[in-house]
Amino acid sequence: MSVYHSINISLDQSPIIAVRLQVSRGISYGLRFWGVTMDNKSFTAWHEGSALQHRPGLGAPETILASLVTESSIPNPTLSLTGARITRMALYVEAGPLITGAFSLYVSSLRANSAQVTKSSSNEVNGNFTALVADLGPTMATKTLYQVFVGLDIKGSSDLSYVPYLTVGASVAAQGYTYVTKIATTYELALLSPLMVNSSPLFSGSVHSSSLVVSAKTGMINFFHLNSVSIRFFVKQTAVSASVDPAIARNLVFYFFIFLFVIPVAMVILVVKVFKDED
Amino acid sequence: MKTRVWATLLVGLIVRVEIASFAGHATDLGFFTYSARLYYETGRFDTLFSSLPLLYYIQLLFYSMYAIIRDAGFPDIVFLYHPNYMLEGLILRIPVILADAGIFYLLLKFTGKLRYAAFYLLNPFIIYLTAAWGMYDSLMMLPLVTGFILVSRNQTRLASLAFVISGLIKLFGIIPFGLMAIDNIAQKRFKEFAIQLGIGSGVSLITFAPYFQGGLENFYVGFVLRFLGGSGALSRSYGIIAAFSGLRFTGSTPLIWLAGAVVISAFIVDRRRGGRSMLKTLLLWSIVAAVSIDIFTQAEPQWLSWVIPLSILYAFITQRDGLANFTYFFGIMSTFLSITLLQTSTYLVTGVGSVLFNGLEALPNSIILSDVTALSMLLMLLGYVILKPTKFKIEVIALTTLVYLQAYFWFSIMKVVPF
Repeated sequence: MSVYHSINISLDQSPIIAVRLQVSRGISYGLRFWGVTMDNKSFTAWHEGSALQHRPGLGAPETILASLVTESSIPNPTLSLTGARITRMALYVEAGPLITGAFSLYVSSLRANSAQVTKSSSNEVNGNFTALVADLGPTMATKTLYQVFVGLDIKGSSDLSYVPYLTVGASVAAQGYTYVTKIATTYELALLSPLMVNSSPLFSGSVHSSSLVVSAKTGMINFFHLNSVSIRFFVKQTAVSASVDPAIARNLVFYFFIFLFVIPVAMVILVVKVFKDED
Repeated sequence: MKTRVWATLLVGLIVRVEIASFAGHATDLGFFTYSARLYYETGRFDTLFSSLPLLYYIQLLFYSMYAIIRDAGFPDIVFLYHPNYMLEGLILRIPVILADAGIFYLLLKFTGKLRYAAFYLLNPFIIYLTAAWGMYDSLMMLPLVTGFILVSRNQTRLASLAFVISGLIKLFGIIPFGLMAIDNIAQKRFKEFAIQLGIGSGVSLITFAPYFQGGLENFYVGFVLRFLGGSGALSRSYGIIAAFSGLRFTGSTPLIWLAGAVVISAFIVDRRRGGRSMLKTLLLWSIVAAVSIDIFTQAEPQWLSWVIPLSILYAFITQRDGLANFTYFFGIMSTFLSITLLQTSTYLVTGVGSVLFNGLEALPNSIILSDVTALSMLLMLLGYVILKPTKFKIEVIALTTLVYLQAYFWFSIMKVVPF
């Protein structure tokens, strides 16, 4: 079920939308946006895979933040967003098959604020940040991207947890684990992989460049120093999803099981029963 | 006897080579292949290698054969969706296959029983890890078993060296090393303790030295903290505590420290009582430590294999034939759980996961189902190790099946899970 709401938010001021809501456990929900460009051409400003989609209800109040520029850029990488506006939004709830009961979605506030952007030419920044974006230069081919290692120094509030992303243009090319700060050191060697991409950051870099984005999931970043970025490429077949003829797969698995179970167990039975006297 | 030993060894090697020629864990073999190629294709040493360094050195040594073969113009091929070439993947696993053969030899030599040695070499779980997955736990277990055999001969300094080498491949080897060090302190053998410490630090320093070129911070965070459970990444999800609590730990659960304290205290008390030999005590508490790690950390399924050779050794020195037999069943069941619940049957074979057996694979809450069944087997193993010697009975198979079916019903069908 979806609830639509008309809004009028200019993208020129890098708006961040903050929604305070509470959704019952057992169902999922999400937010979607639509807008128009300066010359009145409409566009969708949401995409599957975004952290705003299919979120499980927690049964407790929560605040969701979304950068409308990022949400618009990802599904429309070539669209000019200068002068564009977000004109419509939807909140939806959804339930899987055979799930019944009384569920609710309660929105207590909905606000849009301009993001405060601090630019720095150094690889070190101090302040209070929700996300950090480091421009790594022109976009790169990501077909053979394998791993990215990022060496960084980070300090923040006691509840700081953050996720590093490598974005290429408007898309997320690699993502890291969720990291928390450690007592032993402020240094972290973060691993990012294309196979781990399951969300997108609140802010992304320029659509014309590759960027490292460190996005706070909880808490604030107070200090950040980028030490190193090592991007690894590996020529191999992509095995995220591929199809093998089920008949061939079944034959191979049976062949595999013969060598894994049948022959060794038969030999052990021989050793235990037939060769017992030799022990 | 000799013919039967050779026949067993040959069967063990043939099944491994056959499986390793086409199967493999796409992600893990991808890591190893990348690092080996990086060195031989660009001359760059991979200071960001995914495992401990000794493994990398061993792999580079064996991979040199492959580099020569490829340079000579051998056209290797990729099988389905695996990241590595077929011969390349096989060569990366040769050191582990040789380690299995080495453990087979050591167990045979120590116990004099072909049956016990075969329980290791022909254990489906060991074959699965070495040949099908491409895991290197056997490489760690070879010096580990050597260490225990050296302890039985009172060659404690050499045993310490063996345990350190084992620990430099997978950290578990450090446990018997640490227990020996604690014993030296408790018995006031300070000179022995100093020598042991010297061996440990010297070998570790030599092994890690090339990694310092990647920067001390990278070494500290990428190796020391990561392998000691102090990483900042909320990454792992295996392990019964994580599965039931829904928590993601930055390393091990805090309960591991409690388990560690219990194991160390029990080891000291056991040594003070003096009823058992050093070998028996060390083996017993190393097995208990391995079980504790499997239960109280974000355990990986391959870690279940550590108890197999240790239990066979313990079974021999304490005449617990039932325990030796149980290790074989433990291996078969662990293989079944790992293939069906953690990977799917096609993943290692084709390089992509897909479900062939609907009722057994890709079940809801499959990690919990696997963890509960593995926990029941680990507790049974502890029973075989600690309680009075018992025969292996068919009822054990029935009991494990019942635990699996109960867990299947509650967690996969009824989906009763706390998180």
